[in-house]
Amino acid sequence: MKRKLRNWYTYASPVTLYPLVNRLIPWFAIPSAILFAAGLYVGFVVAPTDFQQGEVYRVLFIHVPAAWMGMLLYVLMSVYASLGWAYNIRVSSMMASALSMTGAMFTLISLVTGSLWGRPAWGTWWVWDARMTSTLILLFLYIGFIVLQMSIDDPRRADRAGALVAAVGLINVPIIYMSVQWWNTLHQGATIRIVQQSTIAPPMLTALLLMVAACWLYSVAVVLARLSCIMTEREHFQVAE
Amino acid sequence: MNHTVYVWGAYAVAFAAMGIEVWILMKRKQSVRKPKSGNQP
Repeated sequence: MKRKLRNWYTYASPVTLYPLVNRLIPWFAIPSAILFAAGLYVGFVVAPTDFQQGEVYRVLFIHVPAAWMGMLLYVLMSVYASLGWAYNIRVSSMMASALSMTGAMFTLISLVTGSLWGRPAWGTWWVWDARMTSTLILLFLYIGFIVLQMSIDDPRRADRAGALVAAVGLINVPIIYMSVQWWNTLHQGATIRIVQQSTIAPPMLTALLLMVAACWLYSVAVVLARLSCIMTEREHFQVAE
Repeated sequence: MNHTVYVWGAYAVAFAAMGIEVWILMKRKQSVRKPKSGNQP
C-alpha cells in the first residue's frame, strides 16, 4: 500500500508526469471519436422522432453533455486549483489551467445549443431564467479565471489568483444544478435520474449516454494535450520530434 | 420554418468549436516542440 502511494506521488512532478500524459492522449482521443460516431448514429438514425417536439429534441444529445461537462470541468478545475494553492503542487495548478479552456468551450456550446433549441421549442432565443443565467455566470467565471491567469506574468502568482476565483465560483455549480428545483423556471427539470426511473425512451437515453461518454473522453484527451503544452512551456522541457 | 436547421446548426457550432480547440492545441504543440537535440524529461 505504501509503495502504491509512493508511486502515485511521483506523478505530482511534471518530469515524471510528462511522458505518461503524452502516452495517454491517444487512448482517450480514439475512443472519443468512435463514441461520437456511435452517438450520432444512434441519435440521428436509431432514436425515433419525438411525438411532441419532432426533430428539434435531437439538439439535446449535444446540449446536455456539453452542459454537464461545463459544470463537471469547473468542479475539477476548482479542486485542482485549490490543491495547487493549498499544497503548492505545480502540476495541480497546471491541470486547472488546462481544464479551464475546455470547460469554457463546453459551457459556451451548452448556451448556444440551448438557445438553438429554445427558439423552436419555447419561441425565444433567450430568457433570463435561473438555469440559463447561472450557466452564463459560469461562462463568465471561466473567462475571469482564464483572463486573470493570462494577465499575470508570474505563473505562480497567476495560479494563486486563479485558484481564488475558481474556489469562490464553485458555489455557482450547485446553484445551476438545483436552479430548476429552487425557482420556477422555463427550463425543464431533470430527465435522467439516478435513484428514480428516467423519463426518457431507451434509444434516446443510449444516444445521450454515448454522447456524454464521447464528450468526457474528448475532454480528457484535450486537457491532457494542453497540460503537456503547459508543462513544456513552464518547465522548459526540450521535446524531441 | 424547418426545425432541422436548428438541429444542424447546433451540431455545426459544437463540432466547429471542438475542431477549433483541437486545431489551436495542435498549433500550440507544434510551437513548443523543439529540435531533436533536446533531452526528454
